[in-house]
Amino acid sequence: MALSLSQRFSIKRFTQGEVARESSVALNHRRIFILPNKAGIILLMLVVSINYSNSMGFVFTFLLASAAQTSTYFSFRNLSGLTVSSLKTNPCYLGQTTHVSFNIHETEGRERWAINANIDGFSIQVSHLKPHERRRISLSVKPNQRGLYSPNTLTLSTTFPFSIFRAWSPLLFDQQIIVFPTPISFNNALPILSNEQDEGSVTSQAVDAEEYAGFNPYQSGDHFRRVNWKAWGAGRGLFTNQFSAQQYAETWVDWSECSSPDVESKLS
Amino acid sequence: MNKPRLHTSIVYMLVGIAVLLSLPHIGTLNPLFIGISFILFSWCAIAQYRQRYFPNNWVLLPLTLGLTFLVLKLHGMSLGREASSCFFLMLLGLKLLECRKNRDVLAVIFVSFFVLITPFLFDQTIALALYGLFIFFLLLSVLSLITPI
Repeated sequence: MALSLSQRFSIKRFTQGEVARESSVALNHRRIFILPNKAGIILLMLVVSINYSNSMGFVFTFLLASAAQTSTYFSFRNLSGLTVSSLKTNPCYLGQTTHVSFNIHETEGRERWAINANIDGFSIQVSHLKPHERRRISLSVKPNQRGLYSPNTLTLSTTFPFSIFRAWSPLLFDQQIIVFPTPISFNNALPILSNEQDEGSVTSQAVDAEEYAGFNPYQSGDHFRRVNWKAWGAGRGLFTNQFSAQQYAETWVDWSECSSPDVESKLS
Repeated sequence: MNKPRLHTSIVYMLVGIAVLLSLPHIGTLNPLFIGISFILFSWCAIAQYRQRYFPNNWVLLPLTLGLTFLVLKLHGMSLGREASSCFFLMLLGLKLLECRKNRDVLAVIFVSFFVLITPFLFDQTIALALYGLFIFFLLLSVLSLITPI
């Protein structure tokens, strides 16, 4: 799938990854980037050797530089050929820390070492991947907003042989986590409204206190224990008894009556 | 857990490499500085037994400044090749004393690469070259040993 020229050179591609399209991504030349990792000492060695015109200094400078250059190939190969796919996530509440899971599949039959997986500052070390191994990694994220939360870029990085070069691969996936509002306790926050139309709305909760309050014609679905069998036995048809203590305390949750002013608390 | 503590065997390897690196300097540099560097290396090796003996930053900073001043003063306030060789040898010893986490070892290794080429500023024989090559490969092996598996 070809990228346009402007897409190829945008900075976001190197730090945040390409726009998520598939749920499983294979790491190849297009997605792995490599840069030196604070190894400026080689340049200093070169400068000192040039300054003193010292042959042996040059020898070791260039030997170290060639070792570093070879290590770029190995750092790249440590990441290349891995297939990363995202797994289903569970919804969570705002303020909780939840886990995002990925599946790393080694497809090229080589061993992998010392890969670091990082999301939003939480990093985990993926040690020794054996050939053709599938491993599942879980990283914790803390969503900071209610709603659908897409985790940020997963960055797989390695400095494998000599820590001279760092190869990294930023990946964006399309998974979303549903974040519910923070639940608050019901003890004091919920105002209980009394409603005049509902007679007996705040009555005793005990199920045994049943006062006989008349009967209604039978509607299909009424519980058979409440059917007035006496009347049916007398040939008067099916009637259902009504008991006044069945009505439990009803609480109307009204958006406009909530005492706290902002939307988030009201949603909670 | 991002920065695990350093394994003692790695530290012993680094101290051994540092001692080997300072051996070619024995004839050419001021013996005082060779002695100080050996003291620093052995301090680091002994401190592996008890973490308490490690100097913290409040001791290291004045020590660094004091040794820098000493190097400059005894070489007449100039930075020739002798002065800078002494300076980098002191730097190696001090960096060794400072490294406790995995991240600091890289600094020690890169300073060691630098100290590797300083004997060649004075004397370029084949024997010294082969010795240097041997230490070079020791350093490369330490580099590959400190990768977190």
